[in-house]
Amino acid sequence: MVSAATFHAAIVEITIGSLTLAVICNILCLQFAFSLPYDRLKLSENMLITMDRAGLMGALLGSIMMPFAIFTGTLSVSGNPVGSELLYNKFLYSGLAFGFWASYLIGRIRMGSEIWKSKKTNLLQVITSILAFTMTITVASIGGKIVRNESILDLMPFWFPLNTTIIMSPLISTLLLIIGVSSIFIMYKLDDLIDSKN
Amino acid sequence: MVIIFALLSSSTFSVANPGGNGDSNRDFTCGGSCHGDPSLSADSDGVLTIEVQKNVYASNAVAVHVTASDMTLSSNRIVGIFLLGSLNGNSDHLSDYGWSIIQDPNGGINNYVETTVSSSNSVTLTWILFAPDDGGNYNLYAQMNHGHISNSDNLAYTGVSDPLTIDVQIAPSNLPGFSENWVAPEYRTPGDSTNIILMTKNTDSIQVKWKLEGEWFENTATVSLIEKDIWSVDIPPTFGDTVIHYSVITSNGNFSIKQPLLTVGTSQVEFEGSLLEARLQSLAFATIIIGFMTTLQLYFFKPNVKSDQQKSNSTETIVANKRLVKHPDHPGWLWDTIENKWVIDSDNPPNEGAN
Repeated sequence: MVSAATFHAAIVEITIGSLTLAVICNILCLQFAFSLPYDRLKLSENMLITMDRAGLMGALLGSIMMPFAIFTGTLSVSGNPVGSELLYNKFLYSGLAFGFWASYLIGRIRMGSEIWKSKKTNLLQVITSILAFTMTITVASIGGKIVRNESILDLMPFWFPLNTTIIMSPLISTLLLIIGVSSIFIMYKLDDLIDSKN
Repeated sequence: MVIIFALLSSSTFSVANPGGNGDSNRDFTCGGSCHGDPSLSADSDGVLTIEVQKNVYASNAVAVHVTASDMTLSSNRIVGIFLLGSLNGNSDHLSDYGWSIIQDPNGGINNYVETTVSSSNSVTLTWILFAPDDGGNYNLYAQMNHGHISNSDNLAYTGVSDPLTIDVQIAPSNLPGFSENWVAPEYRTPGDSTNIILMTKNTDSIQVKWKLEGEWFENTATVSLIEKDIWSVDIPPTFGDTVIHYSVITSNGNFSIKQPLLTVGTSQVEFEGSLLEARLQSLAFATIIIGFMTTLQLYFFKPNVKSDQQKSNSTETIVANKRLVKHPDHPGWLWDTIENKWVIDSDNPPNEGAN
């Protein structure tokens, strides 16, 4: 019988690999709206379209695998899955990572590749995917801290706090959840309203 | 037959306990019976020795030092050590021979403790015991279990010390010492300034000195008598991983006995987060982020589309303006430079009379 920890390791590798590819491709997509001063580094239109599609597919695969990674991770923990600040933070940063990746995907799918053409939306997409990747590697780093008591991020002079956390009461979390869902719903309705007026 | 075969087959999956089994009170059965089978265990290459102070008095505190050294350990460097009254395999706990534990090396009251061995490959653990009430010769044994760096079969490596025979002397009837009913506190919560309560016997006064682990300077604690043989000792509150060692001198008019060094650690603050809270909070963060970021996308994208549309409309007008040229001699008409013919100016249509 293969343990949940082995499944978790395999799924995490797929997730992190896909998301790493996605963030690299998205950064290169900056060239859709911002010209580079060096011609040698400039990518052709076809190459940029490929980067856009690769970024989209990488983020899509990573985001699909992320809930499975969280699920197998929870199963592979013996005892209380949130028995420490580190494990609790793993949940929180997973939520943040999922939020940013989902935002990137929603933007890219709704607005198509046109989203790269404008400087503002291009920059917003790139920043979103960089933030999403930062959260993702923070989650992975917590895994390293739990298993090996060290991670590559220890080399960084500063990073997000991993050993301290903020526990919100379920009531406040539910309130935030309602606000978040409402804002998504209102945003969609507003979008439809603007479209129908135009 | 199937059940027996399944049970026999499963036995290979339950050898040893890599990572330890936790401190507890156990007979040697655990270390001897489970690990006694040669197919499940192997001899440790380490050395175990036991030492005690010179004079051990019945019903009085005694420090027993067990040193384990030169073992080839697994990568986690954990070793589990028993302190036993015999090697019978069962009913060999210290309490079966009249000893009781005031404090184990990890601060608890267990005869089996686990510890991580430093790179020096030697560790000394100290148990503070109450000697049996009756005088005479008593044996003490130490036994250890550990893993091995090359241990593909998950064998338990076990070692046993030579017996240490202790001559427990009958104590003078008024020898001052700890009460048999007293158990040393293991931990205090961070910042807990509550005094430590000490229970003694035959004692008129006590002196308590404390020092932080790793430091040499000793401080004298303030002691106050609550009632006969019950003392309140003021030791400062601690935080984090701080451990305080304290020694007690129990005195009466005839004797003054320095008791073994005791330890009190700082307990970790228990983490109170639940799975439901973590999931709700995580989901709340995700939806807030999605809501905020998608709103930003919409805010930046829609004006962009609008300006693109406006731009294309104005471009069309400019192109149309360049194609259609007004002529002062023909008001209401525009000359189409591409089709080479006159068209009606929709903004200023010609009068019927003029046509």
